[in-house]
Amino acid sequence: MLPLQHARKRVRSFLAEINRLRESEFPYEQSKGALALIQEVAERHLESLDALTDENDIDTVINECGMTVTFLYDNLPFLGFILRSTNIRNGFEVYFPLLRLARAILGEDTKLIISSEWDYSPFIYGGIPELPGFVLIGLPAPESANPLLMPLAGHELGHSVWIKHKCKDIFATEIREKILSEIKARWTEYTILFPGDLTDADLETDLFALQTWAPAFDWAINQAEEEFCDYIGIAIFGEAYLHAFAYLLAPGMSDERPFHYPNMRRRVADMKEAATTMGVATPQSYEQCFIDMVEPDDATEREKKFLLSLADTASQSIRSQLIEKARTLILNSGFIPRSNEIIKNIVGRFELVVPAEDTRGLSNILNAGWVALNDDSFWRKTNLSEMKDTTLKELILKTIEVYEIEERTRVSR
Amino acid sequence: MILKADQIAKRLVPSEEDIDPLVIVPKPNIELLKQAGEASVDLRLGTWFLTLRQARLTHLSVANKDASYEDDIKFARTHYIPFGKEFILHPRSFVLGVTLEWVRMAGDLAGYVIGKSSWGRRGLIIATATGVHPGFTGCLTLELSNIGEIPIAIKPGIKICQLFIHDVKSETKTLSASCFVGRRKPTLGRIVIDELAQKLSEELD
Repeated sequence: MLPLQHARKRVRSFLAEINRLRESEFPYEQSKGALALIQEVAERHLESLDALTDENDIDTVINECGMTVTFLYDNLPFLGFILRSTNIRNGFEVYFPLLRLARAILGEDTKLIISSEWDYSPFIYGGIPELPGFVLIGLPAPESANPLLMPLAGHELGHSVWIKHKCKDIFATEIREKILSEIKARWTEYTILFPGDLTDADLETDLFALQTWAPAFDWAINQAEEEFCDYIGIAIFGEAYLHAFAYLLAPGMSDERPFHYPNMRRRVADMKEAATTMGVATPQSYEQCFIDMVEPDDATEREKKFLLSLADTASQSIRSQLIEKARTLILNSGFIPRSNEIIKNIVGRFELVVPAEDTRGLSNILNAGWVALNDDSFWRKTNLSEMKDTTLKELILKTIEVYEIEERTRVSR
Repeated sequence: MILKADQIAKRLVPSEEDIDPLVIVPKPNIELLKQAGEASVDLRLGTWFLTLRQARLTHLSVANKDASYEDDIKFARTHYIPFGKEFILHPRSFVLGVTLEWVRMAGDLAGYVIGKSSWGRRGLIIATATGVHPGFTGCLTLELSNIGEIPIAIKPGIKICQLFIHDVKSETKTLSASCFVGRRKPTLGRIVIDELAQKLSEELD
């Protein structure tokens, strides 16, 4: 039977690829461990396929073949991710300190893979069925060894925090109620855009009515999650998060705005509010660095625009709660907040062009890095000023490695 | 005058006013250093290595005025060996390593990196008296070669070499800005062909 033969060959090719990848130089065991887990599942699929014969019912064969296609389709990107996690363009020194941070926030069984990806926007894979407990963070390849952008990993970790603490469930009711109250307040507009014999009592019960505002609900939930992740980034990394965010994203793109984010200027204004609440100083003229992306067209996309405005209003209405939730979750995780005194000491060491010791955490190191980078007078009196960016990154990565050595030897010292 | 270990220890704990200190990070154990009778400080192996891509190379040309640091990098491959893992150095193979320690040499000091005899007796040769100039700051590139008959496993964190430091009479306190400065990875560096060497390398009709 041809589909069965093809399915077996496909899984064997996939397993052969895993075997090739296993020969990579793995900078840390968890990449290799993830590969082994995917291999186990692939082998189980192959066993199931090998157990089938011509005597089996055709539906059973088709079903089994279909499941393996889905498995291969879903997991091939992870093989690529794991391979790229071994590329020496990554700043490997960051790995263990970031793993410690992830474990402090998400739990001791957290496993982490960081990779340099061919996607300019940092992203996260989490909740992968084949990789339980794994968090995969992708950073843009040209910046993957730039430690100054590591605070953006805080945003990506935020997605795992959101899931772990069931934040969607916590905020869904409020978002839903806000959307419904907004529709009721704008009833005439709603009935023009979604004509039908509806009353506001139908909004929560009638299938057609539910479908009309469902996209707004999904977008609002997604917006709330993204904003929450920004607040987690700020809670962990403080000013360094704001700087890294601006470095990668300012002023913003000229495309149509993605609906699962608030538009840029509101997002930045909300981050500023979160920063103020958490005692983080926002860089001067920060908001002016950003522009809004293009909103849906008034004339041709009226329904979309209406729904998006519902989503924006609903996610905005829980902004303060999201900030507070992010702040308390990080505070209660035992995460040691950054210290201005330590940051100052680190900057002092960087001025001498030497890595710092006794830094007590990634956040202090990365904030010191941004202070030095943003100081135009830094190293001006030395002949290193032309090599400032390169040398500073080297110093930061070495300081992170020294921090890791201190952590590993802390008990015995 | 070569600094004895207790003198090195003293220089590693500078006063706050010292704007041009000797720094070694991670800092060696100062108490042990003070008690040591040696005239050097041990340095450890770092996590980054550099090997040449032999399959791409016909030879290394140094008498080429266009040869650059970037050209060298094209023919080199970087390896990261994390703590706890080993790098196997096979007989007659050559690799660049790096010290775990970042060294900042004060303007009135210079140094030499020498292999440890305990490694040398096992066939591992480390550098050939690499000079560390006043004002240098960065991790020191090490030239590692196994001249023995048996493969040697080396691990980041092991004591790999020793740094002898001596004082230098100097009025200046500027940091060096060579391509070796401020790096945490091993560096091939540039072979500078000066005007005289360039002229001498040209063939006459």
